[in-house]
Amino acid sequence: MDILAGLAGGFSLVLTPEPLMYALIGCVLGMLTGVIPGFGPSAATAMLLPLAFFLGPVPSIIMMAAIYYGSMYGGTITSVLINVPGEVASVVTCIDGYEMTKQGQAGKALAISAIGSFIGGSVAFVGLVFATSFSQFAVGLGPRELFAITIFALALIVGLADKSLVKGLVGAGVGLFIGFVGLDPLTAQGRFTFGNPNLADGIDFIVVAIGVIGLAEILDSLAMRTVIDFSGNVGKVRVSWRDLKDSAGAITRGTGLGFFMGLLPGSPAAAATFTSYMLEKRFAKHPETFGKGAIQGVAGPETTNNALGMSNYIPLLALGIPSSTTMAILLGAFTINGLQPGPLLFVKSPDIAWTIIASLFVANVMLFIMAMPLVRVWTAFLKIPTLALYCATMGFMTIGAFSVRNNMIDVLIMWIAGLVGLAMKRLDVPTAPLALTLVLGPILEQNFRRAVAIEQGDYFRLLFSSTVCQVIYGTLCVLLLIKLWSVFTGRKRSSAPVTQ
Amino acid sequence: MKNLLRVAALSTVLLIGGGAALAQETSWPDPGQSIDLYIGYVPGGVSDTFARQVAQTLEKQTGVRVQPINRPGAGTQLAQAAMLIAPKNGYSMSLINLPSLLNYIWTGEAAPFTQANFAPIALLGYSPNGLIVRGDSPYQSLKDLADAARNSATPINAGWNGSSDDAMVIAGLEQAAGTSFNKVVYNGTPEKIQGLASGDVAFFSGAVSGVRSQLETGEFRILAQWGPQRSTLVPDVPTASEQGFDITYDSWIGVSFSAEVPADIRAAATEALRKVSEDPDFIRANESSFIEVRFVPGDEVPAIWTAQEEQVASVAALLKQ
Repeated sequence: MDILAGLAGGFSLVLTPEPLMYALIGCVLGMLTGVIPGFGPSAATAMLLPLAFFLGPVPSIIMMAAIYYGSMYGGTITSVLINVPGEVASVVTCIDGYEMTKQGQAGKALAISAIGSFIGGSVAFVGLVFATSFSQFAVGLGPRELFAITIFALALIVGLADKSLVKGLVGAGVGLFIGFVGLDPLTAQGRFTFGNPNLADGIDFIVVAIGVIGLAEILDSLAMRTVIDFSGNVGKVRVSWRDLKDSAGAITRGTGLGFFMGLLPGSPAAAATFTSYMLEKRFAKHPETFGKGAIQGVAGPETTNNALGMSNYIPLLALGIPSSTTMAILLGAFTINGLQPGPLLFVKSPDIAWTIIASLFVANVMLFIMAMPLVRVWTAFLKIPTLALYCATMGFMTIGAFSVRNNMIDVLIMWIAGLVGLAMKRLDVPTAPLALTLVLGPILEQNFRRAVAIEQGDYFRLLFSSTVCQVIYGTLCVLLLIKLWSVFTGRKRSSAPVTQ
Repeated sequence: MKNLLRVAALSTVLLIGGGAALAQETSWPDPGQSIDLYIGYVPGGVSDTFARQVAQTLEKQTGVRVQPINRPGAGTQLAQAAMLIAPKNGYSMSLINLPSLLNYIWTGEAAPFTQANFAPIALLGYSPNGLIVRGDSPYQSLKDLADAARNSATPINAGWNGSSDDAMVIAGLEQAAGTSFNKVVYNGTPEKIQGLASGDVAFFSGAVSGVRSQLETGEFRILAQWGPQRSTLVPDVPTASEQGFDITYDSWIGVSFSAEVPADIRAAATEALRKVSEDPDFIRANESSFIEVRFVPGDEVPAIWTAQEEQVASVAALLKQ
């Protein structure tokens, strides 16, 4: 009962004008920063970290949490409208979100994202409230589990290769290669860095994703002189019952997946949303619509993203371990104010702990209330003449790439990636597998090698010693068997590109 | 006559004004400027938070804007490089962590910089480091750990991040135990904490400030601290040398200019940082996050730096064997 009493106390403190105002400012700022490509939640919260000195713990943390949350939705907006991922987790939303925009369904895509985000966030919030029961579970999640989940995601990769499996694998290979650039995660030897310290930490995923997906799209349409005019094609915002029914499964699975992935150390948001997308394609009644504007391809990843955004707080609040860069920055906001997240926070300053938790739900509701009417505002941007929109977008991309590390080298990398993306488009090589392997490759390598070190070379223990791993590998086997079955019986229920 | 007086008055005012302006140009810092403080870490960590406290207090002391700039990457090399190529006018400084900064000794290739490139302004923070184990660990002392390592059939798992700090500890322990540990590489303290909490590794070495909450709950314990004397922040934890182990190093956080910054500016900056180190708010904020505020003026830093360089170089030679 302590939990509910604490939560009620938290809500009574949050539902007063001042905290509500901070949450509102945070949501708006977060949404706005999310709209700037590459300028994701970590950059936005980092920018506001100095405020923690002046505002005191509760307001600054409420505001930063709201920014984090708002930017996760904001990142979706540019992915859907102009095919430019606003932040890491919404890279995969570009695939079907932008297709929906081309078909005049931008409003619907944004609305279903908001609905999915709200549901995912709310369910994950309940999990967060009872976090104490999950926290011991989260401690046990480590390299073995991350390796298993990455293998799971990679095994589904053929789902991203639309026309030709070979070309899909070429894209995947390029992504893996880019992921190798940087220092060897164990021995710190430089790999493909050409002795340049700027490349020592590897090539940033979001910088490449903006270039290969967003910039390449703009360059291509400029070079081909096929600039699409969206102005008359904004579409209705209404989400029909049918859309909801179509997305229900995606939203449910996205919630569960996102909640689980948020508990993992390093909580790889992009890996989670990609996994959700490929999972939806597997479960879809009409997998052939994926890549051509399938609503599930937007609803699933977007739900996953916000559920993960919520469960991310469990390792931080319950264990004091920041599981992502943004959480590390939030940890900084706690530290600056002399607070230490972890089990003692609930003992020493329970009112602060519960106020922050309650504020997360308030931000979730606020974002939903704001997002729905704002859909019209965002889609109105499509009425800007396309060339002007492209120019502005390229400016924002440059700012976004720079903001990742405050380093001009990332702007250069983004432009190179844009040219590579253009070449791939011309050669009909899909870019989604590239983005996927770029984000998964380093996670896979690092965690595999770390797990081998921990188990001192005992591969059987590495694979099967943990229950979570057994469940993940089991599910994967079942999915592959279903696939094999459908191939043998010739029903071709799934969309694997066996032919061509 | 009146005109003459007026001219005289005006020229006096101009002279005094001009003289004041000239004097201001040579004094540091100029209120019209702002100071860039480069930080080689992502925002939010222990060093970043410390740097932000320095920036805020320095701003309070000098009235000049101090802008923290995060330039993470390559073990703070990118931040140091950014500071070293900036104009040498005293408005670009960088956070330096000793001995972490000395990682350049390990790189087989030509190091991007050496001690000669830096003109330390001051060391400000002393971060007690120690050997961290789980609360329920069977080891109560370094001797227990060394004995267990010697008698274990398989090597004991140790968490480390390959830095100079960790290398000195592991090399020292391996020498004392006469056996080697199985090193599991982690990037940063949060990952090390996860590894220790889940039991994947038996111990790691790190800053006490990074595991405050785990220590308070009893989830983790400190077996030994590495300083030559016990830190006032963890007075109950014996040092390694008290336990008969020759593993001693200090972990400092400071601020540096490029060596090409003029001496008078360096002296003024050292004086400003001395005032920062005496600020009660600054001291309180850092002690609550387990960093001791200890002031070492810039001209005394090279001796510390050189001694640490020799220490790291000998460990590097030892580990390469």
